[in-house]
Amino acid sequence: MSSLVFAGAAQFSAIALWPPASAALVIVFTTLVINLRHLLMGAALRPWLSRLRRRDVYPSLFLMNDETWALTLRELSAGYRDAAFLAGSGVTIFVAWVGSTVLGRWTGTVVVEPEKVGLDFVFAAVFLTLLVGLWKGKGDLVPWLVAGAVAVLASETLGENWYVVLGAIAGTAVGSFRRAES
Amino acid sequence: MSPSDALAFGTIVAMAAVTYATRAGGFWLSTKFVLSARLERTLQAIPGAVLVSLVAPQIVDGGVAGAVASAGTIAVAARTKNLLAAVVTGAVLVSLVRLLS
Repeated sequence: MSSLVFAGAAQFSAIALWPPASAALVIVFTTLVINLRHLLMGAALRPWLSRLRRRDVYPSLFLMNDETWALTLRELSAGYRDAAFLAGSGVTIFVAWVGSTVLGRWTGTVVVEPEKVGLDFVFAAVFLTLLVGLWKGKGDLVPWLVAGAVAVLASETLGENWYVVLGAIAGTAVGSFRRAES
Repeated sequence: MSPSDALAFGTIVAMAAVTYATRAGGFWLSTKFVLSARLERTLQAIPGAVLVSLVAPQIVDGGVAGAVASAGTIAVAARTKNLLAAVVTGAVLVSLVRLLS
């Protein structure tokens, strides 16, 4: 999963919903919704990527993720010429990501109780940190509260499968009504 | 390959296809259409909404330990902008509070 999908939030969600016996469709749909932001990220890079050959652009995009996109955007906006930055940073993260997945698989059976060391909290901590980075001001407060409330309600009433998608849709819907930047 | 293995692999391939479609699709669509302001706002709202939805139930279920660790994680993240520092803080806090309660 780490090498083909290469998308942390989606992978963690999928694992929470695993096995796919009853949840395959929900897993794939959740993956789609979680990763929709890539549409915006790819579009944002258009001014620079449009100057490359198609066969350089589309493989580079395979490895794009939040961190490398943000770094690439920053570099290119500051005048750095080489759009290959996207591919290069992507490869670096790919090696680290897949390598860590393999390492975790091997050592996972050795760490008996992740709860004792707080490892089970790591997912939440990563997402919280990403949220801090995404925070753009008071305008985010209501959409995020709505997303959280709907997600919590959905997870209590509808169980494991739908709460991410429903919370995300609710939060996005509210967020799309923002007037100019606040 | 057993049927459940095949299903697992098929699910992963479907996830990969869908994910790559989102990665390539934004650039591809931008060569075909212009992004309206409303659509752009909507797309920008998505990551935050998704991340909050992922994290909220776990925090709510996490009790005091979860609350303290979350507050600490957010504080360190806001201060240092350092992912590793924030995550380590959260893990340490959650295990500490659990130990003490």
